[in-house]
Amino acid sequence: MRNKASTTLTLVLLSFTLVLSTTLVSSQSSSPSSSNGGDDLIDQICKKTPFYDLCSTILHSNPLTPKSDPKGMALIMVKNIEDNATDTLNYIQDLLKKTPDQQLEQQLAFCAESYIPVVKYILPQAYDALNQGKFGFASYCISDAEKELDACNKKFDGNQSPLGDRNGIMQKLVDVASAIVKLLLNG
Amino acid sequence: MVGMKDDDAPLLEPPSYYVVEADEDEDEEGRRRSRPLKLRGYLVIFGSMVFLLSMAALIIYQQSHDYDDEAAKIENNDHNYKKVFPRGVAEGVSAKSNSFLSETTPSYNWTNAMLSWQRTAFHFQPERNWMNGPLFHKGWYHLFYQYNPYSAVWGNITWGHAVSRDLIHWLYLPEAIVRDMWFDINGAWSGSATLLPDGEIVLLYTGSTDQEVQVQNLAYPADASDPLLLNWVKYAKNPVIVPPPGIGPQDFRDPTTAWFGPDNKWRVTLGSMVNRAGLSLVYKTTDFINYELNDHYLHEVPGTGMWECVDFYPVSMNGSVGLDTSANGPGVKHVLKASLDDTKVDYYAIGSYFVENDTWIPDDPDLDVGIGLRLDYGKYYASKTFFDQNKQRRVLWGWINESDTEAADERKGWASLQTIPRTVLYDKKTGTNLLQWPVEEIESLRLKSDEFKHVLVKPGTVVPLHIGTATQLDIFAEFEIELLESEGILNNKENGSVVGCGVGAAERSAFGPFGILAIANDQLSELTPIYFRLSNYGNNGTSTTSTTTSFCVDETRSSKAPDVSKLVFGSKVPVLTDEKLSMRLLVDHSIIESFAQGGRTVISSRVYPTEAIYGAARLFLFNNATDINIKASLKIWQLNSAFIRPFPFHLAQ
Repeated sequence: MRNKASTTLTLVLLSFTLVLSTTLVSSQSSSPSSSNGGDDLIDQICKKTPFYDLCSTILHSNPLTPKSDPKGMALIMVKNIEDNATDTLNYIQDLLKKTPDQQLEQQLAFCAESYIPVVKYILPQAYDALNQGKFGFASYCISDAEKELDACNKKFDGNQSPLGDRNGIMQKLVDVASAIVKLLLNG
Repeated sequence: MVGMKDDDAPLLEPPSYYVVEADEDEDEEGRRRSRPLKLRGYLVIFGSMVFLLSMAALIIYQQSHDYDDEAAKIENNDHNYKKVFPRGVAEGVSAKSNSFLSETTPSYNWTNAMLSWQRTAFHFQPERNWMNGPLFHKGWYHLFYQYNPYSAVWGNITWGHAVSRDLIHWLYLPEAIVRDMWFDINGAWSGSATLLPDGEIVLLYTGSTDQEVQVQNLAYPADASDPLLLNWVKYAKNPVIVPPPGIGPQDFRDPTTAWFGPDNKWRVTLGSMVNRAGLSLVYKTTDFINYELNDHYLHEVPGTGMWECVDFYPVSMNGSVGLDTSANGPGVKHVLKASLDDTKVDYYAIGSYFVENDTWIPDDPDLDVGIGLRLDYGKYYASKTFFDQNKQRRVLWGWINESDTEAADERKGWASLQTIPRTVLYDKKTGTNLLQWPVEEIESLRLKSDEFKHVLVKPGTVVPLHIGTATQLDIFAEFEIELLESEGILNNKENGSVVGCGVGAAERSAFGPFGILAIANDQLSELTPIYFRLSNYGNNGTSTTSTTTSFCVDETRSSKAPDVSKLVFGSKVPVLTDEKLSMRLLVDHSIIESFAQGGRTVISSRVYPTEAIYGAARLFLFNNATDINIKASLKIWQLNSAFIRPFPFHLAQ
């Protein structure tokens, strides 16, 4: 008798745990308008950016994203861009060391020159400005960053860029960040 | 694509209209230059120029050294005119307006179209009003400039402020320093910034006190973490340096960027004068608050008068990179530069610095400061360099005043501008010159280009270059010379003894002038020649005469208007045997910057045409020599505007 009871209890506990964790897991990675039953602030804001999915994925998947602070969301986004840009810059510099192709070398060198100020000054200043509530300056920095990324992108013909998706993704991130900051600017 | 004018048509006849060539008083406003303070690891250059307070009317005096420039031939004409006292003199500063005009100079009927054309597209100039110092910090280049917020003529000088990511696209910011304390109430003049190891920025600037005494004041950013350095704070116990005994209270200004010595002290130098000898005083400091004056001057040159805007910096003898202002050692030479208040000309000399006693001597005493080489042989003053630690280069700013009337400036609503920043390198090929060259970022303005190869220009002809609009250009040109067979002339004797620039491009000689006509109209009623003239050519074997090459700009026919300054500027330029003759021109409406032989000799000019404007401005090649053909190869870029405008802060910041 006792064995049966404890076994049952164990089974119940196990399945309860299983259901609970499944629910937790599914709620964490749930699509925006599903298990939470309605848009949260992140969704609302991301809908006002040109790349909703990207915006939402990033903000929802980052545990540090504040639920109700658009400025915090902008900060997360800028940090994300900064990380991506740093990564891409390292990638460019690696490629530069390895490539024998002179034309490619020039293109990559140009891109490195574009990315360096973005990583070193422009994005950190955008971040600081956001933190201090200087949304105009932050907006200006973000558009500066965009210009640099664009200049690098233009050096390559469409499909042949060794930077492939990276630049493309970053452009989108920048557009998203830019849109969020504009929302902040307009109060 | 290229047409030819009639071979026999006389080219560039001497001007047929009256040109006033009175004593030219080129008084310029103070320049503000802040020199960047150097940190050992970082160099922040800040230049601002202090303008001179002088009570005397300035007389421009042209030197007639053989080696020296032939700039601004001044001919006292016989006309009876009263000397008009230029603005600024009554207030004890150097005259700022052009006093070549007299009461009898006919004034021209300038139309608004003519005046608005003059505004440049890609040179730094104030939104409005008057300007006459650079720094790189946290991703931004800063320019501080002497600015009159109220008027397009000199006065009320404060520190204007602008920033740029690339030295080309500038954004105006609010004024950085205003004249609101007794120690700068009569002028917040030039100064320099130094970046300290802990990241702090320190600024020294000359203030003109309520008693019009020149003192040095300390200021620093209100918030050094602000990338735009918007707000500045003045040290409460200013001034930190006052004129020492033996130095006149109005002969003491323009502190440089500091450099660090092996004794762990910073040094700063200022220009002054004692008994007409221009000199450079040195102060040592550890905290930028307390200073000791050295016993010795850094250097002194008799007869040169007051030294304004002194600049002192090292150059690498292998000529490939710029150096931090504190750099020293073997393979390093030091450049000492001064703006001579008496003549409104910038001179430099290359020499050796002895840090043990903070003295400097020139490599060649005949080419000492104030008597030797000029940075720019045209309209150019109050220049200053800074070390750009971002790109490891030394960058030179120069201030270009207007050469028209104050009345025109007031109508235009602005006056004066800065050159395109130039990199400065030691010319290791000659060992005697500096090389200046527009910063590479100017290439970001390039739109389309046209290329011409081996265009033949026969003696006495003009060849149009069909490039479309010709007011915003970056021109690279190379010239080859073909001796005409009919003459076997090895030297210039039979063609008169035209040396150097002559009286302009209309004066013909065997081997020059030839070059480019810029801001010229089809009828050639207005034109500005930029040209070479050689003393001889060909030297087949026996002749021992060496060739001297002169590089010149002739403004005498740049405009029909009589109330603008129109001079011939130029100098000899060293040309090595393996070098082709080459020039680079930056044309931007009313300013032309001309560089010969990679920047060995540079001439900046202002032109104010009445007809060769907008779509009527054209570009030509010309050859006014008698004994040679010219073959010119050119690459010409159209340059975009830099859209210099206020910083887009948006709403409330």
